Amino acid sequence: MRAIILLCIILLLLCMLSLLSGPATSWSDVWNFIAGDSLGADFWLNNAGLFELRLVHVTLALCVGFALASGGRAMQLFLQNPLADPHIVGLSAGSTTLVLLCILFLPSFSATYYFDFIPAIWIAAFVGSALALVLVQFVFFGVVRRWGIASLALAGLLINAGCSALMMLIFARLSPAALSQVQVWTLGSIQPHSLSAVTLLAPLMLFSGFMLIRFDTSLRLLSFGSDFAIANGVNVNRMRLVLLLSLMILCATTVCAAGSVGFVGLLIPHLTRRIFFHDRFAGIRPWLNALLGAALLVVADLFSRVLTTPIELPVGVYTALLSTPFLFLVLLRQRLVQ
Amino acid sequence: MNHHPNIHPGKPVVHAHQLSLWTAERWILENISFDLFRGAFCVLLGGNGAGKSSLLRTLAGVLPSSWQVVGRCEVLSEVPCISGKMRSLGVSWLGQHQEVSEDMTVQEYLSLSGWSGLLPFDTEFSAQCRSDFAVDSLLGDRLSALSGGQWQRVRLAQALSVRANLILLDEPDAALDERWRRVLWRVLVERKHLGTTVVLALHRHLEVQSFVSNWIGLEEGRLVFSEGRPGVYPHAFVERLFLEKSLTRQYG
Repeated sequence: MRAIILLCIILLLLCMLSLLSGPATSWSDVWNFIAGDSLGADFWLNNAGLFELRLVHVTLALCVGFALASGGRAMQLFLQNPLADPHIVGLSAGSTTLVLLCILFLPSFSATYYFDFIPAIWIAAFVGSALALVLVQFVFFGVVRRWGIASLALAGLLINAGCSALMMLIFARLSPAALSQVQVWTLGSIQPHSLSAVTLLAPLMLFSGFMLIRFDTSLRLLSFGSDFAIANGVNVNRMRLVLLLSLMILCATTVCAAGSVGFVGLLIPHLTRRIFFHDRFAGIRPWLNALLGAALLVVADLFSRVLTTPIELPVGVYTALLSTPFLFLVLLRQRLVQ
Repeated sequence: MNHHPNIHPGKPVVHAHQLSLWTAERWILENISFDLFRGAFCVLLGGNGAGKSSLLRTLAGVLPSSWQVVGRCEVLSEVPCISGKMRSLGVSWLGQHQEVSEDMTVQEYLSLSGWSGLLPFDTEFSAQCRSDFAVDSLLGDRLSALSGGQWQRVRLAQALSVRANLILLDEPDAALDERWRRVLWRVLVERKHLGTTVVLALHRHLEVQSFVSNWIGLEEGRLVFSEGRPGVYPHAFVERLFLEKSLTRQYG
């Protein structure tokens, strides 16, 4: 419990830092604000729009990290595969593809900014991920069921491959202006939505994350095989359905908010398992995992805004850059201790 | 007092009538009928592939969803659910093999039992199992670091630390040495005296013969022998098990 509170405080501090810093403000502004200088306070009062923009960024980063890390842990346990992440079943790819199709065939958007509160885009994201879910279920039940639960990953592989091919086709048809905007999004970068869009997206992302965390004990039972889970009272069929539905909401909303951000869902669960390996964390590990994911994404988002100032690199670049060496160090340390 | 309220003393805990099991390709069990009552200690005998594990799985409701159960199979006066649905019974089942993919500690693994409320966790049983199977000294160890026998003890401690009316164990003595086998039999006999029905699939049945109340012999999915009289040991059947001849002709 103390670990959760500590992580929450760290997360809060990171959010504050992220809210205060960015290309438009220098470090002296930040310091003035922290020191309670009246000049600093005036600056923020005069630039409410800037503050709103950052608030959107930080909130979305927080929620996306929370959702993706929970999704990653859930999928790794569910598929009994340490290489799984929330995108493995192909729901994100389906969602991305349909959004791209929507952009391609609705030329009225070409002059505007795509990812803000445009209902068509959002509906496309949800329908895309729902279609992918139906396809996954179809492949799972119809073709490869006899290979057990791991065959869901194979179904996802098919969908991912098909969707990435489709995406390439769509890229070839898009106008150069649209292409540059869309490409950064597909690689995963937090989109500057309006605040009203965030109030809809953020609760949905948090909700799907909570749903997946709620299933953690059943998923841990399931990691010993479905027979064991059933014998211990898990309704495996119902759980798979609710899990995939939550994952569908998760994928659609994170795709709307930030495209498909990689590595968070893959690396954070491993990192959590290594850092909080002690038994006393066993019950709260999914929460720690989600909070760690949120922290990573807040930092990655901050870096993407600050480090290469005129260009905003995809946030996925920084999630990989931050988490890979960290995980490597943790693994190395554990090996040395042993 | 530790038991499921709705078992009637006169009603069988397990009632199988012309029970057959169809995988999409062949019959694994055919026309099996038997009854087991409260406090019975039943051993399933039979060679490899005779259908012992499948029978236990059918009773536990842990079957692949493409398999079909034909005939009547009632456990604790309820029909066990098949194909991944949640059961509403106090049945504790332990399979032969179990994969370990999530590398948790023994402590965490033990804490998974009794999670659902269908198999109520019993602190007394749990503490007893931990000391009986000497699991306490392993609590901090990773599951992947355990030896085969240690893992089996941990699994048994997990499966037996719940309040169950029916305990189904599939070759629980595998990988256990002499000492732990004796501990296991003692724990099971204690449960039997508390009124729990115990069903085991075993190859080394000589060790348990003194407290077995029911013997069930299976061959190629058929019930070829069923003995419920106390103190009767199925000599002829067991001797036949060592022969290659078909037993069905003899008994069926």
